[in-house]
Order: sequence, then C-alpha cells, then structure tokens
Amino acid sequence: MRKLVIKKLSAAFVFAAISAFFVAPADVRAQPAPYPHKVVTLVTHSSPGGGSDVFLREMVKYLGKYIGATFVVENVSGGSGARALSKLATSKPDGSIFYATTPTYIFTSLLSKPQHTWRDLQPLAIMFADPEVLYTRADGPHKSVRDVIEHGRKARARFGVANPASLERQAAERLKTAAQINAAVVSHEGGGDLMINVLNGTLDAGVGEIQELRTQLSAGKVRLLGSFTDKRLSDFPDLPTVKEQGFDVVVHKFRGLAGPKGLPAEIIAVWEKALPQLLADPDYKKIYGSESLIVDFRGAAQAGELVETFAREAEAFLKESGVIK
Amino acid sequence: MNAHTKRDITGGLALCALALAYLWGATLIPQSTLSDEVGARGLPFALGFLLALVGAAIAVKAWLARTGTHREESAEGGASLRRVLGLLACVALYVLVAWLVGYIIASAVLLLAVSLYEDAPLNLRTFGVAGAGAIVFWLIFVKFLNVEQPIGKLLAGS
Amino acid sequence: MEIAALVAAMLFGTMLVPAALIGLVWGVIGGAMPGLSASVTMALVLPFTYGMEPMTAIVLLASVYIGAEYGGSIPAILIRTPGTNSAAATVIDGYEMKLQGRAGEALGISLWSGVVGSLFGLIALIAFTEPLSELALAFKPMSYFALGILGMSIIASMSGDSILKGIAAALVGMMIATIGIDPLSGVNRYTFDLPDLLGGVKPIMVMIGLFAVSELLRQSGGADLGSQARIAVRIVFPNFAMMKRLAKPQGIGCGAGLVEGLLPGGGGSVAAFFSYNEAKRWSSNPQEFGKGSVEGVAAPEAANNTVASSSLIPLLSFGIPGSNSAAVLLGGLLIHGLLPGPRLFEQNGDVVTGLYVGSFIATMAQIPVGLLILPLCMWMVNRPRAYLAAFVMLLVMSGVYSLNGSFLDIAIVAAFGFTGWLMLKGGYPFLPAVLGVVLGPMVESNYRRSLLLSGDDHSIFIEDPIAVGFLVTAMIFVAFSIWRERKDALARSTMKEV
Repeated sequence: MRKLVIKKLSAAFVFAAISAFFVAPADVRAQPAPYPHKVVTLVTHSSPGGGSDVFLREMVKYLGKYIGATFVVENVSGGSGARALSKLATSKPDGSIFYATTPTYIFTSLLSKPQHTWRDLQPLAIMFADPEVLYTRADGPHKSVRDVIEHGRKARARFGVANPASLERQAAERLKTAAQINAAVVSHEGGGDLMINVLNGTLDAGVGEIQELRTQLSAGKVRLLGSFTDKRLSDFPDLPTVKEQGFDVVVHKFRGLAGPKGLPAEIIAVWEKALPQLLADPDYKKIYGSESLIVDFRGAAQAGELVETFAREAEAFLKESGVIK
Repeated sequence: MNAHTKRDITGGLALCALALAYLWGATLIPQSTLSDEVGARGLPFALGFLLALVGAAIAVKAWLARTGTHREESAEGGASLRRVLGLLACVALYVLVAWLVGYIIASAVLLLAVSLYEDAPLNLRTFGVAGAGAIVFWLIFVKFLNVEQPIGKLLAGS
Repeated sequence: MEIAALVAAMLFGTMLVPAALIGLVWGVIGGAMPGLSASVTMALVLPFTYGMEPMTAIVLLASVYIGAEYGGSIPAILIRTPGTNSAAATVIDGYEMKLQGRAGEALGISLWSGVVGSLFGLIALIAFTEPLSELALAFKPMSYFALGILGMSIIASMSGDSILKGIAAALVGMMIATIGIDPLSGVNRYTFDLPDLLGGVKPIMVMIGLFAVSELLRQSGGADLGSQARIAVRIVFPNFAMMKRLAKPQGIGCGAGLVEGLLPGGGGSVAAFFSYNEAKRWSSNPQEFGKGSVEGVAAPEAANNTVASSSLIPLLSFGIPGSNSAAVLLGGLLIHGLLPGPRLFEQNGDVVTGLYVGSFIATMAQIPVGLLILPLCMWMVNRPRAYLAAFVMLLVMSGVYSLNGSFLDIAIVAAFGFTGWLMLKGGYPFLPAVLGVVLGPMVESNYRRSLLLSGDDHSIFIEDPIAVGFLVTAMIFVAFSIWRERKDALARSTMKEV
C-alpha cells in the first residue's frame, strides 16, 4: 500500500482557494454557523485520490456554507489507518480536527492492535452508507444470487473480495455460511485485480461497493446480483437484496466523522445541525447521488452505538475465524 | 583453512541460524479458518527449510573444498567493520537529533558528521557546506516537494 | 485536417503545454529522490490539480509519471541509488559505467531509451488500446504465478559465481517480503505488533539499503575517487551507430514494459529486471553485462518508461489501473467527475486527446529537460568524496523518512545497508535478493489463489495456457543457465590445466 503524508499547508492553500471559489457564489439562504476555530483539519487514512480522500474533498467544497470555518483535508496514510488513529487520539478534542471514518479504522484496530484504537476516538456522526453488492460479469451465466449458490452446490463456487479481513470478506464468508456451500473466497491486492478476475470468468462473483463498479456498470460489463443492504437501493430499484433472495446477510459500510475523545457538547451541536443541512444541499446531493451513496445520517449518540455494534460484530467474525485471538 | 573457506562456513552457518529464527517466527503466525489450502504459514515454512538447507550446503561445500586453491577475489567489502559501524553511528546520531530538534538541524549535523568522518578538513568550508546543504535539503523536501520530515519533540509543543 | 486543427487549438489555446512541461520537470525531480516513487510524486502534485481544468490536470499527472520514470535512473547511475523501484535494474550497469568514468554516456543512453520507451508506450496506448486490454483480461492468477516463476528463473543467470549463494539471497529476499498482512487470510506475519510493518517492507527500501547505503559503507574511508577519475560533465547522446546497437535491448524493454503495464500490480520493476536479463541473453556481448554494458542500461530504461504509458491502457479501457501510479491518475480523473472506461472516449474525447498530445509533448521534452538537468547532477557528483558521501546519506535518509514519516524506516534501510555490506564481504549477489522481494509476493499469493480456486488441485496450472507457456520457458531458461555454467566451469578448469 502506498503511504505518504502531505503537509497541510499546501492543502490549506489549495482549499482556501477552492472553497473561496465555491463559496463566493453561495446562496444567501444559509448563514454559516459560527465556529470557534478558523481552520478545521479533516484527516483521512486514504492517500490522495483514494476513497475517503475523494469523499472529504467533495464534502469540504460545500461544508463551508454551513459551518463558518475553513476546512483542510490532511492525508495521514500508513499502517492501514493506524497512523491516522494515533494522530487523532493524541490531538485536543476541541473540534479543530476530525477523522473520516470507514469500517477500515475498526478492522485495523482489531487486526493490528495499534497503540491507539477506535475506542480512543469519539464518533461525531455517520453520514452515508456505501452499499455493498454481489456482482458478476455481464456475459456470465449467473443472473441472481440464487444462481451462484445453486452453482456452488454442484461445483466449487468462487467468490472474490478486494482485501483480506475486510467488510467485503465478512459479507462473502457470511453468505457462504448462510447458503451452506463450500466456496472459495479469494482475496486480492485491491479492486483492480479483483475486477479482472470477475471479468475474465475466473471468479463466479465479486463483492464490492457500487462506487467502485461505476465504470464497469456504465460500460455494461458487470451485472449486479444482489445488495447486502436492508432495503433495495434507490438507484437500482429492480435489484433485489441478498436478504430478499433468501440469505440473511446484511453489512453496513458506513462513512462518517469522528474526533478525539471528549468533544464538547456545543461543538457536537454545531455539526449535528449543519450536517443534515449539508446533506440536503442540492449541489452536494448531485455529487453523492452519482456515487450511489445512501444518506444514513446519525448524530453523535447513534453513531457511537452503530460503531460499537459494528466493532462487536467484526471482532466476533475475526475471532471465530481465528484471524485474531 | 584459508579466509574464503572460513568466510563461507561462517556465512552458511549464519544463514542456518537465520532460517531457524525465521521458522520459529513462522510458528507464531496465527492460523485462521479464513485461510486457504496452503495457509499463511505455508511459504514461511518452505522458505525457512530451504534456507537452512542452502546455508548448510554452502558451509559443507566450503568445508569440502578447504584444501583446494581459490581464485583470487578482490576485497569486495572495502571498508572495515569498525569504519562501517562508525558511519552507521552517524545515522543513529541523525535520528536522535531529528527526533529531538527536527529536520534542519539534524541535516546539518549529519552532513557535518559524515563529511568529517570521511576525512573532510575541519575548517570553515566544511561547516559552511553542512549548513548550506541542510538549508537546501529543507527547501527541496519541506518547501518544494512538501513531504513530511521530522519535526522534533522539543519543538513540536510550541 | 480537423484533428490537426483540434491539436493546434490545444497546443496554443490551452494550458496543455505548460502542464506537460511543469509535470515533466516535477516528475524528474521527484523520481530522482530516492524513496519518492512515481506514484508518490504524482500524489504530491494531485491536490494542486483539483482547481484545474480536467484536461490540464490529467496531462500534468501523466507528465509527472513520465518524468518520474525517467528521473529514477539519474541517481541510479550517478550514486547507485535507485530513485524508483523500476530503476533498480539500471543501477547494475549504469553505476558500473559511472565508475569507469562513462557517466555521461550512461545518462545519454538512459535518456534516449526513456524517450524510445515512452514513445512506444504512447503509440500502443493510442493505436492498440482495444486489443491490448483484451490481453490484460487473459491473465489469471495461474498466469501471474507462472510469470513470477519466470522472473525468478533469472536468478540462475544473475547469481555470479555461486548459484547456491544466489538462491540463499533470493530466499532471504522472499522472507523479507512475507512481513506484513498476509494477502489471503489477513493475519499478521512477522509484524511484531508494529503498525508500521503492517504494510510490509517496501521493495524500494530494500533496494536503497542494499545498493546505496552499502556502497556508502563500502567506500567509507576510501580514497577520493573524484580526484582520480573526475567524470566529464558532458552528456554523450548516442550517435547513430550506438542507436542501432541499442535498438535490440530497447525492443526487449518495450515489449516487457508493454506487457507489465497491462497487468495490475506490477509497476515497472519486474519488466525492468526481466528485460535486463533478456537483453543479456540475446546480446552479442553478454560478457559486458554487469561490467558497464550500454545495453544493460538501455533495456530496463526503455521498459520502465513504456510502463508509464502502457499502464494507462487498462485504466482508460476499463478503469483498472495497471500500476500504483495509474491508480493516482484514476483518482485525478474521479475527482474531476470523469469516469474512465469506453464512455470516456465518447463523452470526454477532448480529455483523452489532450492526454495523448500532452504525453507526446512530455515525452519529447525529456530530451531538452534531461540535457539541462543532467550536467548539474554530474557537477554535484564530482564534488570531493567526503561531501558527496554526506549528501548522499542525507538524501537517502530524507527520502526514506518521507515514505511513512517513520524513523523505523530509517533503521530498516540502515540495517539493509549493513546487510548489503556483509553480503559483499561474503560474496553474495544482491540481485536475487531484490528479485525475491519484488516477485515473492506475486508468486506466493497467486499460487495460493490458484489452489484456492481449484480446491487444492494443481492441474489448474496446466489448464491455463499462459501459465504453461511461462513455466516451460522458465524451465528452458534454468536448464540453459545451468548448462552454460557447466560449460564455463569446464572451460575455466581446462584453461588452468593448460
């Protein structure tokens, strides 16, 4: 994995420029809420161009409309998020620094037992769910989750996931158990590798986020088989969930923010008011809508519960399978 | 026993020792039901055994050939162990200074230490080169390329 | 006519030319810094591109990539420090040429080969994206495994005097590569609970340690080389006869680079080593390799520059980056709301055309930029040895620290430097160790993936024609190397008797 750290100065400069550009023609409806800090740092463990990095950079374009501060994205990659965790855990909980959370920070905490874990952070909010889906190649024989499972009863089914010990892996393993089939779950070195093996028929199906499949979907190269969500996806109303197809597997890939432990109540209040406004912003909606992100807003308290539950499930999964002791 | 025989026997045995340590490490790798047919330990075990074998073979081969004549080889290693450790100590000094007071000063210290160690004259020019060099490096890495360099424990708090 | 008008409009009406030139220069500088790989150099510039026009941004990033792949060869030749992973093969003969006072010639050859490789890759990208992307899909885990084995078979012919020592070095290299999270099961191997080790020890750290730091250690306290053999501060650009001689190794490099660029996960270093070895095998002067062969510089430099363009083929055709650097470019596209894939050509054809034109400008601009930068670099390495050693040491430390912002990495590189010095003393070759680090993970994870797919049935390898082809070739290579070794040994012993 590539790791690098970019000093925030340049990012601050660029983002000051960009947010100036975007804020300048801002509408007069909303006056940004006053905020005690001039500059707020948003940390991600992604390197520039990676998933959470793009998420934050798109968000900060509009966030300035609702919170009166300049937002700076800082990439602290390395150690699969362990370094970002440390940075957050050792910062002051005064609302000047937050971290873009995804399940990665829980998995890294569990897998590598770093000095600081997800428990040292306080969830501020959950904003989105990134739907995970089962997909196959468009010219392949499988048309539904059932088809793949039926195939798996006769022969060895082959599922692919991008990374070992990840949420996608968890979904595939749970599907395997729910369907009671003996299938191979093959981890790859990232999404590109996985996609090639799905496209060339080496794998029966892959598990991934809709967001990662956009290119192939628009080119008509892959077919979605089912979503690992509670409800059907609004962008794909004809796609049944995996659960509807008889296998009770639902996973929740969240995207949100967390800060150092001990955030003051008034800071939380500002964000809890601003984030729903941001999510309703028509321009921002256009951006995240095109990425099939599902709005799943939860304030600090519920976000904390969700993260707690998620971590418990992930830990149970990793312990049962012997990945960690 | 000539120098080459001795060298290869020590080297071979050292490889065996490394292989054993590595094999011991392999037994510490957790076993997971998520694993495949070969498993996370598969390659480490294979590598460990192979290295032990190859190490032993190198040592045995050298022992068997101990009386034979050897082609003369140039002293490839160059500097002596003492010199090498001295240079590595300069690196350790750099890390210590960088950890304490950050990149620029540490760079100057490293430049000065290494150039003096490599027989540069102890004069104003050497000091000047070290100082100017440190500033140039700081400009390139911190100001221009904008990558992270050590900040320094003592300065971080301010 | 229309295309000509469009291109002219791009050249004069947009920021394309400045973007290509700035990108190239930035790339050369970043690539020349040890540790800053092409992808990191691109990622560093990525935040600056967010405010730009999409086309300008993409051209800038692609030009950085081209520059970085070329820039990596400069320190490889001058101070035995590969600036990027894929320049490690250039170290072998490039540095040897520098020691012989032929640095200017080596730099000229690497510059020319870089241009040839970039041009070849660019032509492939423009003309054959469609069929080549099919080729990328033909590679299955079994094929990757066999490709790794084929790469490993080079060890037999790169081990110098003792094949046993070569194998030992390769095994240790593979051991280093097992550090980190297991690619299949996700358990930690040899990480000692250090988060910094989770991602493993990067090949570039092993290469910098073994090549650059060990050289500093070896030379420590030595005579002032500069005073005996000041190298001329003049770049010797290949003349026509030399160009003809270099055509064959460059062709091999271009071919290897083209294939590796298509496959995700590579990134140039495999192609560089592979083409180095093949250039040696097919050369009329194989005995020169390792002793300052011009062909040994040309082949890997053509290969890694080809990758800079060919890795964009799978990216543009189905959004799958062929290397880490192409992945950064993907990030650049996504941030501007551009989705790569067939529809990019329809919807944003101007961006694609701009990318082609910009890459061409950056490719050609390598020559003037190189000719401007190189004399300065050569002047720097002509300083008294004491100062040069100090600056190289600081350069290495700064580059390595910037990878992760971790002192542990400095310790690791220093340890590899010491290991390299021990290996020199013991007569162990470096190249097998480097190949072990680079290829070990490819061989292991794809072997395990294949068996996982088949349910522990090895016949899956025989069912994949690509794998069979590679494995058979590997066997022929090894047999050939052993045969040649025997023949040479026999020749030596008869010479002694006479």
